[in-house]
Amino acid sequence: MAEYLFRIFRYDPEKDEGTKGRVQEYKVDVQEGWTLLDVLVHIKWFMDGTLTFRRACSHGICGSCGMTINGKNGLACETQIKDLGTQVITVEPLRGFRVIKDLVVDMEPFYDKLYAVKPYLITYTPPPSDRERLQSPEDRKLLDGKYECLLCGCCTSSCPTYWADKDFLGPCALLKAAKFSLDSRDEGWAERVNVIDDKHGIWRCHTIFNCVEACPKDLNPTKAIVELRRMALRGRL
Amino acid sequence: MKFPRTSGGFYAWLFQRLTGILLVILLLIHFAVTHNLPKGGTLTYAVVAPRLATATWKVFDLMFLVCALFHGLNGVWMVIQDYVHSETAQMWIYYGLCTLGLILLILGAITVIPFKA
Amino acid sequence: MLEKPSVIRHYRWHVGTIAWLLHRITGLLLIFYLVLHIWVIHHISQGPAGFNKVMGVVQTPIFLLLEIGLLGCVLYHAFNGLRIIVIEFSKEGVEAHKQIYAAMMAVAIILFLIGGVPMFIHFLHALAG
Repeated sequence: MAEYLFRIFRYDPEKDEGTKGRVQEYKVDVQEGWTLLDVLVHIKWFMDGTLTFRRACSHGICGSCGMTINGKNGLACETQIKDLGTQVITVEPLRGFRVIKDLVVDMEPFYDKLYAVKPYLITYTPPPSDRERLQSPEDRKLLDGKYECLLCGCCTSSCPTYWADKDFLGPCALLKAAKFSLDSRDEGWAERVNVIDDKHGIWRCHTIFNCVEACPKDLNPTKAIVELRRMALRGRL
Repeated sequence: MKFPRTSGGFYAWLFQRLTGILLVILLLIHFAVTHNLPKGGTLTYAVVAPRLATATWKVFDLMFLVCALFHGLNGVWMVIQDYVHSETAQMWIYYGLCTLGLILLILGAITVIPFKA
Repeated sequence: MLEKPSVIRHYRWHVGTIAWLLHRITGLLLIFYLVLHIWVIHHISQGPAGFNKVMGVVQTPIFLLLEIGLLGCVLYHAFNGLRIIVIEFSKEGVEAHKQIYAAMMAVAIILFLIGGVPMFIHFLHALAG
């Protein structure tokens, strides 16, 4: 057991409307092996029931508990307190999105960008009548590092370009676009390229790499954007 | 007010890279020849004028001028697009940058082309 | 609903952030220089007297010192620019962006010393009169 100080961003739309929110401090005795999500749950259950945050699986697969931890985005449930290396831990909601309450942000604009890139398999040729569409192991391998995304929003929320230009599709949507565009079974490039080959699409990225640093699944959205640029370049020339 | 942009950022991106590579090459030659680096020295009319009067250097300097102006103003335009979101403001800044580019291009061209030592 | 202002310094920095910010800052400084440069060199069409006069102004010690800064800006912008191109057009560039940055900066620093040291000596001579 060790005592840590948690400085948590608080914003209650009923009380704090018109303010920039406030920081509330909690001293918590953290037990061996606790993640940040364990701490937040402990605060909510035993110290302050008004603290609001999103959570579901607590095992790094649902993507609900994305937040800014000590100035860097990540999943609360995958962040071991011990690994943070500081006695004072700052917890903020994901930036770039509007705060609904405390650590809960409005992800709607983020989902809108995702829907815009048509994140599903698009096909025109009918499937074989006796089985599903097959894919060779080599073609399947191309999707590694693309399909694991949880849609937690950590990457898009860490992107300085997205902070500046809210119409930018952002790293997450572009990673999804790459995932489907690189799929050997997909025939939707012509449709998808119309959306991503845009001043708010692949050309807006300034290769700052914040998304790569932030991704809790160690994916590489910048690589996806670069691959899409090469595909668009080949298509144009 | 909407103003039409057809390339969607592709040509801005592509030519930023092409002019960038060209500028690196041109700059290294510029530093070595004009500024005589790494030796250095004072630049006077007598030193620069004879070289600037040759056709080869006129072509070199015009290429330099066009690449640098495009790369620089296109870079500013990219930064503007990040932070200025009103279409009207963007349009005015866009035409402003084009005008500035044209003025500087003409100023540079009338320096380089008719020059005789 | 509240939107927290996204201030760059409130988010953790790493190589990519620094590379990008410096690229922007040096780029914006260079465009100012370009305008000045075109205007100064334009004086050459006025013949030796006019050109030497304006060149005399821009070769005073303060300008000679600023020129070393200019060389730094140019070299940083050029070699980080090449890094971006390598990242975008090479196979493994995206994964190795930090190593590419280190390599590019090493070349830029070497060139800065090769060019900058004589410029600094020149500045000292000018300062001594």
